[in-house]
Amino acid sequence: MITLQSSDKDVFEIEQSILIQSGTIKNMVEDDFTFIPLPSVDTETLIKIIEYMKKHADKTDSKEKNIKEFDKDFMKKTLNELFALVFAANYLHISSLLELLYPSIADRIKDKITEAIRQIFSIRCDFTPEEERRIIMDNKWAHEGTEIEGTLD
Amino acid sequence: MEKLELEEQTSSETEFFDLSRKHPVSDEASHQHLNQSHPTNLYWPTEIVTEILSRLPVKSLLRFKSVLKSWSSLICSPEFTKYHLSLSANNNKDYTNHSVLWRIAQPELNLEESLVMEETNLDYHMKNSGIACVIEGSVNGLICLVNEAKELFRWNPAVRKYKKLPDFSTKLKDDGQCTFGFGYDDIHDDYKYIVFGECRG
Repeated sequence: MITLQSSDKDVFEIEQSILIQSGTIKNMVEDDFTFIPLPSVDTETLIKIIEYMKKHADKTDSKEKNIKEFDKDFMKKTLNELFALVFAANYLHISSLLELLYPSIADRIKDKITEAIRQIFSIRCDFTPEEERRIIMDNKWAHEGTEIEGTLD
Repeated sequence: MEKLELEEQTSSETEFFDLSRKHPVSDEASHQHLNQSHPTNLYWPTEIVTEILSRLPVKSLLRFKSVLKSWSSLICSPEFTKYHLSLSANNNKDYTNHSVLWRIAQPELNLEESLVMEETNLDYHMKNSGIACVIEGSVNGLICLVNEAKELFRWNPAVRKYKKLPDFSTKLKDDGQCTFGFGYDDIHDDYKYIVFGECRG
């Protein structure tokens, strides 16, 4: 059994066989660590990560359809939750979860206007008004269309 | 308890941007809920941004060039273009993205009798000029167009941009027949255009 500790100092005891889906944890286990602090993963996100790994630990054929359903539902989260998961999965090197998150996030943001993207990613615009105007005019058609919207989720 | 309140706040703070509105919503509320959910919200590792952007359709990418300078550089970089192309090709195992493009000079062709799954009218720069042109080849989403005046153009319908290629017609005999080829040279990482024709003199 391996103990994981979240940034909120909550601890979780999980079987090693489930956790080796995380490349980061696998390396630490191989170096004989049994207590693994994860200062960049909060409890809420860690619970979801563990839930994902538990479901994916048993990849027998009979479970495949079940896992696909789970994955579909697992992505039904707010954008902020998906971002927290992508940071954690990136740090923990869980490639199957990343391969699920990247297209899901892309799909959620693809029709948003520039300003909504900046708010969602907490980015401050570093173009001058003139530069911004020019770059928009250069691809004017990409900023037009009925599908384009400005929600933050 | 604290986290439950946070979720309620998140849903009530979802703001809608009217396309005609230019002023952003008050930063405080949206930044507060972003801060709580992921502590590193101001620092985005390049690999995560790259992987997310690589899965976006072209129209979104062109729009997002205006988000941030580093995003614009990334999207314009040849490495990113190649990666984006490889992902879209790999995700398309049943080849539904490989469209058959009909010659522009034959609009009366009856598409219903062929194996066409979807047809689209594409705008191209010479469409309304009255000058006839033909498609002489396509690779990686780029199309080689040749017009009556034997001018060659490289056209990218996805980004709606075209480029006129250097003139070769002065080297050829007037009214000489030409055959064209267009392909990608992966050794030199470049696109090649080949013209077979009768030279002057």
